[in-house]
Amino acid sequence: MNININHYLKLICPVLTAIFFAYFVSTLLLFVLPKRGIDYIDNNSIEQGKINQSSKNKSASALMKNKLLLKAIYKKHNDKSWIVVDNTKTGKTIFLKEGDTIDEATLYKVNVNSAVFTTNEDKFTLKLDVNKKNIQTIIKNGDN
Amino acid sequence: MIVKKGLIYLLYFVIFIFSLVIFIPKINIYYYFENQLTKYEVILSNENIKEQLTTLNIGNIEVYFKNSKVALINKIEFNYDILSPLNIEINIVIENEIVNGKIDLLSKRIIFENMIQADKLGTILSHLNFSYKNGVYLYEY
Repeated sequence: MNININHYLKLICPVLTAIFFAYFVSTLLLFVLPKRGIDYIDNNSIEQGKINQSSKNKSASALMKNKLLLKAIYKKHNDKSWIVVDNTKTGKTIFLKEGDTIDEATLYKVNVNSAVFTTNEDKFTLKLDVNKKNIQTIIKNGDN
Repeated sequence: MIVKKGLIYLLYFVIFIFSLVIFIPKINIYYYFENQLTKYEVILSNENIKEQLTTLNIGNIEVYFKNSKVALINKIEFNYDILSPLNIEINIVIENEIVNGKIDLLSKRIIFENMIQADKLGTILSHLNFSYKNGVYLYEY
């Protein structure tokens, strides 16, 4: 009985070795060979994709621009300037300094009467919400 | 005794080859050839790849040459037969025409027989530096 098992093991071991060696070679090949194929992408579809992305960014900027109202600017020479904006949707007033982010827009630069925000790939500018009363009306009726 | 030992080693070798055919990453080998074809400005695109035990079926292949679509191959089938271990059969169905070829691993040749030079596949093979003689397209690698 014992002799028989040894005899079969002698036959089976090289077979198993051959199978495992084949598996090992295949595994090595799997590491060496490329994992992905190549697909043809039309230039037009790439351009269309870029246009879609750009319009998506622009629409995001437009939404932010409509939502925020620049109420005040505090500009300092040696320090980061900061601004006050009103969120017209929520009615909240927010203080922001250069580099701060509101939703997806980051305050990039503060000018004398405007603030520049950047989104992912687009910029938009908020101008100071100045009192648009006619100077003649002020002279006539006072500041109220 | 020597003949018996030789036969046993041959059996082990056959088992090794058969296991290799089963385990080998066929899809990745196809990707490798696809990469190589880009050197000739040929791109095979949007294909459906199906891997089986000893065969690789690729369907609906759009063939682009120099950025323009030149053909739609309905099916390519790579078939490995254990009884002819040095050959890989290639069956191509293009516009309801069946073309048979083979990769001869020993002589390092790809052969397509009974071909017409002016047909669509012939044009693609010509771009891939296949030589044409008496209805046979031949490529030596």
